[in-house]
Amino acid sequence: MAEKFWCLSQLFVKPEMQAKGIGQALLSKTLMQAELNGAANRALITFAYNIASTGLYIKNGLYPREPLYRMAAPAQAVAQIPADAGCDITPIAPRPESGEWPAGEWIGRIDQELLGFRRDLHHQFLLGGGAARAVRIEHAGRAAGYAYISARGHVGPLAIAPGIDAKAVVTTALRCALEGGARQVSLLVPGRADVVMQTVLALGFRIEVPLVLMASRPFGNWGNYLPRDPGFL
Amino acid sequence: MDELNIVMPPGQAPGRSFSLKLRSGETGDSIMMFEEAIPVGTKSTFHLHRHSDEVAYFLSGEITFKIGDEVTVGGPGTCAFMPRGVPHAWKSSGAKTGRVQFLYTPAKAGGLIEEQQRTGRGFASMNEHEFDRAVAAPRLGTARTVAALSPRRRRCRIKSGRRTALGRRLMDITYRPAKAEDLEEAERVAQQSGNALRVRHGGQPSPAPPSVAFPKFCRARDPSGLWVAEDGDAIVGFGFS
Repeated sequence: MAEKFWCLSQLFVKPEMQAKGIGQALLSKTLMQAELNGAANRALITFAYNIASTGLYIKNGLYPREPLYRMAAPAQAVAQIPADAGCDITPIAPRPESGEWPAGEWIGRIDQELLGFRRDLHHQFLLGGGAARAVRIEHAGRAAGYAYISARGHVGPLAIAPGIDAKAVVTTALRCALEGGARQVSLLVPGRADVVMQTVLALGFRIEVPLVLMASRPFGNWGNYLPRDPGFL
Repeated sequence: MDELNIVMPPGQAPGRSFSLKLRSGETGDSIMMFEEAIPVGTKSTFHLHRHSDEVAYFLSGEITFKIGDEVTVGGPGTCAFMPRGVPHAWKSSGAKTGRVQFLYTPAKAGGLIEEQQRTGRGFASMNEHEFDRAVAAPRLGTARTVAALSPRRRRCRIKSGRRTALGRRLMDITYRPAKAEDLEEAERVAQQSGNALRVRHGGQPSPAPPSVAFPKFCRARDPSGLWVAEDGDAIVGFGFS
């Protein structure tokens, strides 16, 4: 994605063709985009147990910055959350191709605070059909965060505005995921998001996959931001 | 006509050198032409020339060009046309020093190179503002791509892999920007490769390849971040950003 923040979405090499320099060549090609666009930082998420790719990224100047865990639970585990989880929700209107995008103002402000940059194109993708549902989470009348929910019950990205009760926001988002009728609910929880981690463990979530966020420079308030998946921050 | 070689002072742009072929004063300001040796990793800024068209003819090595929104990798024999007003950048992306013949018409944009010859100052000692001013190249947002590259040379063959003790053949892998029709095949590679990894670590294989929706969205906005590796006609790897 061409923005001042560069993110590698996917890099895969067929199993029988690995360890021959193809991954490095492809990474060099994609990194050209970051160079040509003058990206201020580069980041990606990979499987923590993929030591070959982790080494490749370190060699190219992207270092492990934050452990992440994909956590999941059967839908019935989430059903115990009370209907009034502490926050209100309203749907986020899609971003038009041109013209005003009123939600962009508060969403951009939260992203700026949590990640250090705006990501309007990512929101445009998610609001344009990339996610089944997009909700603004409110607490006492003000924006407490946002959540995107997939048709298969995956929550993310999930942003929790600074100073807001993380437990209330995450349980509200999980309730939304349940309403879609998915059999399982899942999310990606950063190691630093201790309140979120304790909240979902108490609900019966278990770790499915360990991942790691890698970046050229440290960034992000990972106590308050849950990326969507390895291919989408 | 005498040939004038300019070698960058040590420590500024090691190994980068220019050889003037035609100076503006010698062509009535119509054409300025020079040959440049571009060491591995050397790159230009993303810039444009307001008053001059530019042609680059690749003599050796591998150069990756971004012209407007289009990224192309070229080898010897490739000819790139960069019309005035279209932003462009390049990088020596091969394994050894590349050689490229550059031509400006009218000659105005070649003034920077001639100025360097006159003052002895190198690229690295000029800041970006001076560089842009010298080549009359203010930054632009978008411009229509008008890149014309030799179709025969659009692909660059890169040797990858090593000869093993058993004498296995060197692989001939092609790297090229991803086309829209590559995305589904690439995601099947992601599924295959991801599943091998998941199963090896006690996880469950994924029953379906990842969605092409996000790569498709990214490619429509900036295709320069999406690359595939091919062995023959089969995609064996890809990187999408």
